[in-house]
Amino acid sequence: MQTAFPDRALTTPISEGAITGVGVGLAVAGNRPMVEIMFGDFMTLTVDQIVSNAAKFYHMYNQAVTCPVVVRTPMGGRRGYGPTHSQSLERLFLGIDNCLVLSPNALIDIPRQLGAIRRIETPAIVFENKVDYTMRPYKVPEYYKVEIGSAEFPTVAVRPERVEPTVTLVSYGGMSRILADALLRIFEETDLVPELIVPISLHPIDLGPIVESANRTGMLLAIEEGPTFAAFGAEVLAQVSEHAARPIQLGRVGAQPMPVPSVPELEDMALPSVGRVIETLRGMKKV
Amino acid sequence: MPFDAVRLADAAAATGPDVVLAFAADAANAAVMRQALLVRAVETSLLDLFGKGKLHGTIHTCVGQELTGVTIGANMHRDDFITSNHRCHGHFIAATGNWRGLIDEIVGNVDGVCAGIGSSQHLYARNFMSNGQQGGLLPVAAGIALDRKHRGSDGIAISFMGEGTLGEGIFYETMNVDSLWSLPHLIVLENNFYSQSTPQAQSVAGSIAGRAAAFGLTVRESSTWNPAELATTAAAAMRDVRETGRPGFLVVRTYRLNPHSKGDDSRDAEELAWFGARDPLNVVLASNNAHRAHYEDLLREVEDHIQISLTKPRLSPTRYFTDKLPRTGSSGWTKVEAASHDTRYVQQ
Repeated sequence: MQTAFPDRALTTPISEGAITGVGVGLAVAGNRPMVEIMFGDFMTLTVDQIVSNAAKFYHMYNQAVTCPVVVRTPMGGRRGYGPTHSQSLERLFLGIDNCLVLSPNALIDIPRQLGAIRRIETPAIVFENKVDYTMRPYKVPEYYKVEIGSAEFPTVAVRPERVEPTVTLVSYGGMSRILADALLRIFEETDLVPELIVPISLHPIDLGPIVESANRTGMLLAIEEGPTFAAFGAEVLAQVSEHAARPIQLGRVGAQPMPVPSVPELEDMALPSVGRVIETLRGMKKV
Repeated sequence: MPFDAVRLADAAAATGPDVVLAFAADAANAAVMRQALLVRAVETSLLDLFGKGKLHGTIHTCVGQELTGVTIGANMHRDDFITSNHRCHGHFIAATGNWRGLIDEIVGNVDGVCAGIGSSQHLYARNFMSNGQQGGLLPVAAGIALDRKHRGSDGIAISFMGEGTLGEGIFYETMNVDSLWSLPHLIVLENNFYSQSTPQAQSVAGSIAGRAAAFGLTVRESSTWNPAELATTAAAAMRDVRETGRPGFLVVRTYRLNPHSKGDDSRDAEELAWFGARDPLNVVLASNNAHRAHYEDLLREVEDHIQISLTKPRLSPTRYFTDKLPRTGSSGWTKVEAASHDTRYVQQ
């Protein structure tokens, strides 16, 4: 990008707050800037710019100005980078008024997922997963198909083609690809037919596809790479409880609530795995 | 007299009432003087209104510091943009002249510059923005400066900050970016010697000017006690930034005669009286009949507007409670191909 656009792709100092603020200023002046934070762990240093500036301006200044700044950053572990380079901090950024939170995945091509970002009128944070950068093309399991919904940032569904699903799995980002690759194994080891619902917009939530699936299956498990306390899965469960047409059996799987260690075996145990999903589903079935 | 006041007195003592009166008497400075008196009339009227329980929330007035904002405002070009902080009323009037909209904003009616939503410290106009954090708008101003540079405009970004903001890291991050990228950004630091109620001796180490000089910003210093020198210095600082496209730093020593907000003043009474007696606008109002008569007219004009302002309606909730987030809600599904790109590459 720097070769093609030398005056528009800028090398910056290591100053997350300032470069996010510069993006905010460019957006206010009528541009469509994109700020890149190299590791999502350091999104903590951008918070004042996002919360007190970008997300506030439109309402605070009586709709006189919009601030469509995009902040993109990779999150996630499974690379042995240790406690300050492996976190999934999405939950700290969910629910900021007027701030869109997006999380693309490695299930369908990116332009289909994020094409609408050229048209947004609010700030947006795009949480990518660093393992997704290393993915081969997604091979849809036999008897499954991939669909997208019609929202501006569409929800992706990986659905069984010939039978009715019996459990709804809700996940996003890097974790969604791990699950999407393991749907047949989950079926074989639980006797449940999983349907995977993968929102790209985490805030606001595209709730329709999730509730629609839960109403059909009666069982929903939310899986995310970060810890579950006050996180995306918690919000999904709360909203499904409010809006489902029938009682739904609900569960969550996420990381252990501790820093992600570098020791490979401990990192594997700290982060959610297909094994833990299967174990949790078996437990839910017995109830 | 307490230690701090003696130290500050050096600054004010360097000039005397004659310097201020000569400036005020010169017809060439009439616009600046009248604008400064307007700011004072608005601020004192707002404080009075607050005292009567007619204002909701809080205000931070700039009584004593007026000359900084109006001097900068006098040199603004159409494409310039000002960012400001909690103590922004004077800056706003200087940049926009819209004192009626400011009063409406603080009274909280629908004709306020932001329909009363933000009130005192959250103001917006075509060329102006203030917010309530310390230093939060400094990098935003750098972004606006970058926009002006890319567009080839002669506009510059001007940021007002207080010396209390020197404690925030974003100030140093911003100066670094300003200098590295040669941004037309002038940072104006109003040094009133207190961070709310904390004396400067307990909050700022080392040199203020030295901090900006270390990043390669062109530094200038002045004070509100010498309005002529302030006018020359501020004009030169703005011209430099405009002509060279390089960032600048202007330190203006000044003194706030009222509390930081309203009741939070623990400063020595003798110190306040000392500075009150040397305040440039007080000096002018005591000895210049023409300016005093004009000031009294302004007070009446402001009072008339306040009476109108108090009767204006509030913002409608249907206007406020909407947002611009993209719409969710899927109706119907489309079968698509799975991800076709092989994104494997070696990460750092």
